[in-house]
Amino acid sequence: MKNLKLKAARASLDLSQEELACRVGVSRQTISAIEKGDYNPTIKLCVAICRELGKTLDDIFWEENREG
Amino acid sequence: MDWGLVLMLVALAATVATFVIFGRQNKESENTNGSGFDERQVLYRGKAFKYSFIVMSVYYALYAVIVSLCGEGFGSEELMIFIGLEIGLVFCYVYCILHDAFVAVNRSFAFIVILDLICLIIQLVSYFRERAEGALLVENGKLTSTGLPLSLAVSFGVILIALLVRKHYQKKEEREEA
Repeated sequence: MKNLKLKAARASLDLSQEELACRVGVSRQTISAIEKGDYNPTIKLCVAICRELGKTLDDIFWEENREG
Repeated sequence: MDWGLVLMLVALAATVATFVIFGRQNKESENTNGSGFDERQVLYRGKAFKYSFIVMSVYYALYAVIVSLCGEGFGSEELMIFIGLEIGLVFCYVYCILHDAFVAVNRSFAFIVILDLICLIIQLVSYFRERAEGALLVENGKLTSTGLPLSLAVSFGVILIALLVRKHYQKKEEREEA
């Protein structure tokens, strides 16, 4: 499932994937994979991304419409 | 002066120069856990090791079957064993490259490509030197150990091609993202 919230939050700060990756300390492909929904990051990386974007975990990673 | 020694010195100088120019790594990120690779890359590298072990085992099993059925292999024993190791390693590297888990975070792509190119050239020069000295690639219908540098050159060549192809697709992705 694509993470459009992450993409939107990144775009709102006018950050490229490369720039966000550099700030978080991961590869650009990892950010790209998270946005595409191809990779499920650990809580440690989620927190690092949220910190850089100035958002909470709920803002970026909580899936509201998911059942169960 | 023995030109094998000259070749070795040139290769050493080129490798040191590559490390000096490109080898410097920026400060370690806390999200790479001291390995230089981020968590997604570590995950794929683990899978690559697992699959390459299976590929290598299959190669040795097939080779053993062929030798037991035909009585002998296609090449000298040491060459065929070495080729098995190469197949496993190349599979591992190519798998990592295709999943963007080969080049560490903050590490220069050019650094890896140049190192690979140096290794490729050394192996090719070594092979052609052996051939020029009269060594045969095939003797009595079997590959000889002269094929060792050639097989290594092929391995480095495959890795180089995989690196360049992946880089091409990465640039395409970056353009689409922009």
